[in-house]
Amino acid sequence: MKKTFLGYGLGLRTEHYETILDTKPAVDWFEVITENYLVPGGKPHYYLNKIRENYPIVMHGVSMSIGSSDSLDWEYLNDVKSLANKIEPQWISDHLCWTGIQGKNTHDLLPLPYTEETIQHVVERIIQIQDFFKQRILIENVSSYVSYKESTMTEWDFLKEISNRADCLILLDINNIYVSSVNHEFQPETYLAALPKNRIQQIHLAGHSNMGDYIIDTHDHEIIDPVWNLFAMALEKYGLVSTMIERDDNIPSLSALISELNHAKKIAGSVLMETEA
Amino acid sequence: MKPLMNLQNKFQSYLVTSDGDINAYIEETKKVSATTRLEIYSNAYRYRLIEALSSNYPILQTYLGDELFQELALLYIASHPSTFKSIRWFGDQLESFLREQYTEFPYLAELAKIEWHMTLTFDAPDCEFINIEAVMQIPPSDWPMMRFILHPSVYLLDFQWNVIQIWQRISQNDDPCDPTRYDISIPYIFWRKDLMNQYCSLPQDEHYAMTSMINGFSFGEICEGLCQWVDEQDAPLRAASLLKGWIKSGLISEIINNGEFQ
Ligand SMILES: [Fe+2]
Repeated sequence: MKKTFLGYGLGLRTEHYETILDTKPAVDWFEVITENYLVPGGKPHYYLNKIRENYPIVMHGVSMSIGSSDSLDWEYLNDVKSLANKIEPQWISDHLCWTGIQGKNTHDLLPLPYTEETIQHVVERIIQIQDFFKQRILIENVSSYVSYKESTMTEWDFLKEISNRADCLILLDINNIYVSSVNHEFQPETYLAALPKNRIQQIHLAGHSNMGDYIIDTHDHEIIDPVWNLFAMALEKYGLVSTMIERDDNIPSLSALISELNHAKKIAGSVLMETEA
Repeated sequence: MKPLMNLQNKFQSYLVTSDGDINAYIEETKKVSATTRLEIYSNAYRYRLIEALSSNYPILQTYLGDELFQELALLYIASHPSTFKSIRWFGDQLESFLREQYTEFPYLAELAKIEWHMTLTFDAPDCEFINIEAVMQIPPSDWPMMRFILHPSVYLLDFQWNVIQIWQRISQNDDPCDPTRYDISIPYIFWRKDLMNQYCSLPQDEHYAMTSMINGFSFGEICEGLCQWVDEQDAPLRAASLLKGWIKSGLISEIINNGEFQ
């Protein structure tokens, strides 16, 4: 399994469309929210096509609902595939979660119970999706605020097992690990240590809101030091991984995000120097 | 029912209707109770959908004020759970919801109608539009048979209230004017040109011609119909000048001439 290293990217946000076209900033790649481009035409497609001319793109979905008890939504998957045929992303990702059942969408990334039943259900669906897309997909660990009494294993064993059995890749969200480690009181290092190194294809970094006894994953702040430390630890274990920063709210200027991204680059640089030395 | 489906049913009912006995399925810690944990999800669920409505209906939100808008949003969210893959489509029924539920304030539905159609125009399919030269190439003898296909971003809407003025004033950060009802409704056209949304009101004869065009009438038939407003000998001239205006505005995607696409 050879990993593609894209470098350091940012989430593409409408606020930055013009600046990106005007200034062609030194960002290695952009991640787009798939659903934002599942519209017929107009500005979203215009800007995406223009930006695609200069940058590699990866597609990140929020509605695949991989863990839902509903049957797979082939109309949606077909739309995603058509978009992918048009913009030729480096890869397609979504979340290890469910977003709704009975045809409804809560538009939230809801956690799954970590059971053998869920593993079988999710693995079967990922295999079908990968067959349909004719490529492996990346699944991302979500941040969570509840855990279910019926769970019989840890989240990391659940993720590891699914990625191995479905032969899919992992989009590891370092901030989500941190958020969940506080909310569920586990050691984030244990999480990192358990995952299959070769499957980690991409990393997400983000900020969050600390509520005291728990943390909410809001993507509206700068990345905090414990998350940077965890990022460094992840790179020590996994080597170079394509990394990007997600910011969805309270969106700062592009240059502010680029300097945050440069910090990630710096950390990666020093980690790799040490491991090589 | 399988355990996974059962759990998801209970969780979703809790989010959507606040019912169900989901608490029993959730672990709690000394620091954070199951109820607090679940409330993070139910708050986020409502918050996200309110945000979606607010981004589709920003002018309605300003008009109502945040508090009333939130009240409306929560009623709508409770009665219209999302079935969309993309949250962009959430709020598609707000106009009819307002018409049915806010009967004392009929202009609110019309304000929502403007905003929803603005979003439809904004991301309607991309399509070429024809230029004047394309029409000039059609021999005059074929003109009566020409039919037209409108750009997919075009919407023709009628308003009984002065909501366009209210919408304009709020868009320019002015105080809105009082709602007034017209004696007869006023037709407007919405469309997109060069990625920018456009709109304008239509005089009666142009409204007639545009509606006929949408309904597939030929240029000749439209000329005949225009005789309600102009003398018979002036009708072709009026029709030609309307057509020229539409083409200039980028409203026409195709001309069908005897079944041949130009
Ligand atoms: Fe993420």
